[in-house]
Amino acid sequence: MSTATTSSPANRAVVPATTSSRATRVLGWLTLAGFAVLVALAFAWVPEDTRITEQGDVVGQFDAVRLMFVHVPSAILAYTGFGLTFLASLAYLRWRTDWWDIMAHSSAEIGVVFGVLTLVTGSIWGRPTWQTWWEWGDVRLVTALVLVLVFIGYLAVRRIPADAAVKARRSAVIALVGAVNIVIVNRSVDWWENRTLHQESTLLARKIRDETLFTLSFSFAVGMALFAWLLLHRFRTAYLESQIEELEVQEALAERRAEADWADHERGQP
Amino acid sequence: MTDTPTDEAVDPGEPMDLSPRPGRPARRGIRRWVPVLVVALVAVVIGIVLWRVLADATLVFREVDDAVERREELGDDRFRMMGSPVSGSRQEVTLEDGRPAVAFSVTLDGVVADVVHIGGLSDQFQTGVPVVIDGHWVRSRQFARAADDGWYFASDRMLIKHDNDYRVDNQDRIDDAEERGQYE
Repeated sequence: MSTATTSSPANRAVVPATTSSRATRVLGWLTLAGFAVLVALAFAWVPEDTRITEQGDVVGQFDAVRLMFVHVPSAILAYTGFGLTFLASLAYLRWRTDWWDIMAHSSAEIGVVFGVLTLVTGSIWGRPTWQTWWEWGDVRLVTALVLVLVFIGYLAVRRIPADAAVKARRSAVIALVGAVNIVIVNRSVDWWENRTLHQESTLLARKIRDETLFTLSFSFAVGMALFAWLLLHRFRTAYLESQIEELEVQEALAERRAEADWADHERGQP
Repeated sequence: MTDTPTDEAVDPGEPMDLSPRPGRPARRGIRRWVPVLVVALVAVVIGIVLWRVLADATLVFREVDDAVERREELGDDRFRMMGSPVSGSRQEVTLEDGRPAVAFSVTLDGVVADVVHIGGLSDQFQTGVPVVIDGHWVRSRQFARAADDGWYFASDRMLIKHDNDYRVDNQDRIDDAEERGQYE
C-alpha cells in the first residue's frame, strides 16, 4: 500500500494514500473472473427448471430459475453483512476500540447494498413465478424490507453529529436490536408458512439438481469474494476518514497552542 | 495553517480570547438535520409497513381441507385458499353475466374443491404447483368439476406458491415432451 505524509507540524502521521493493495487487486480480478464463469455456468450449463408430473404435465419455473444465482447469494451476503455488524457492535461495546466501530459501520453499508439487491431481484423473480411484484403482508417480504430499513436507519443515525464515542455506542445498540430481525427473516418461511408465498429452504431439504447446486455454491463463493473486496476497501476508507478527522483535531489544537505561545512571547513570558 | 499568527489574529496588549470559535464546515457538507430526517422517515416507513401487515387480515392462506371444513362458518367472507390444481380439471366457462372464466379443481391432503376464476391464468398455473386464490364460497352446482359437492370458490386473483423442489425427475420424459412441442 502506498503512503502519504501529512504536512501538519503537530502530528506528522503517515497514512495510506489508497485503499488498494496487491491482495485486494488480486481479489478484485478473481472476483471479476468468477463473475464471468458464473454467467457462463448459469446460462449455458444449468438447464431450465422443468419436471414432469405423474399425469405427464411438464411443470417448473423454466428460465426464471436462473435468478436464483443472484437472489440467493445476495440474501446470504446481506445476512453476513448485518451479522458482522452485530458481532462488531458487540465487540465494540466490550472493548470500545475504533477498529470494531469501523468494522460495524463498513459491514452495515455492504449489508444494505446486498439487502436492497435481494429485495429487487426477489421482486423481479416474483413477477413471473408468483404473479406479483410485491405482496404487503407476506411475512418474508415485509420482514426482509424492515431489516433493510432498520440498517438504513442505523447508517442515518451514524450521520447525526455527536461525539464519536456517543455515536459509536448509540449505533452499536441499534445494530444489536436490529440484528434480531435476521433470525426472524430467515425463519419466517417455517414459522408462518401460511403467510408467505416464499418457498422453504431448498438446500436444507436437498431438493436440487447437481448442476444447479454446483452453480449456486459457486455463486456463493463469488459473492463472498465480492463481499470481502468491498469490505476491505470500505473498511480502509472509513479508517482513513477517521484518521483525517483525528488529524483535523490535532491541527486545530496545534493552531491554538501556536497562538498561545505567540501571545506569551509578545508578553515576554517564557 | 500558519506557524506564526499575524498581528491581526492576536493582540499582545489584550487578554487572549478563549471563547469557542465557529466550527469548521463539515467536510462533505451534510447538514445536521438530514440524518435526523432520514431516521424519522425510516421510522415512519417501518411503522406504515407493520401497520399494513397487521391490518391485512386476508393474507392468511387457508388450505383446501381447512377451507372446505369451515365452509358454512366462512359463508361469503373473502379469504385466500391454497391448493394444487387437479390435472385435467381445467375448463373454459362463461359466467351468467357473459364474462369468460376458467373452472378447475384444487386439492390438498385428499380434499378437493371446485374453483371458478375470473382472469387469465399464467404459465405457472401447473398441476401440482400450489396456487393461492383470493375469493369466497358460492353455493352452486353450475360449474361442477372434480369435487362436484354443490359449492365452488369464486376467485378473481391468483398467486402461485412455488415449492422448493428443483430436482429433475424423468429427464427422458421431459425430452420427449419437448420434442412433442408440449413446451418450448
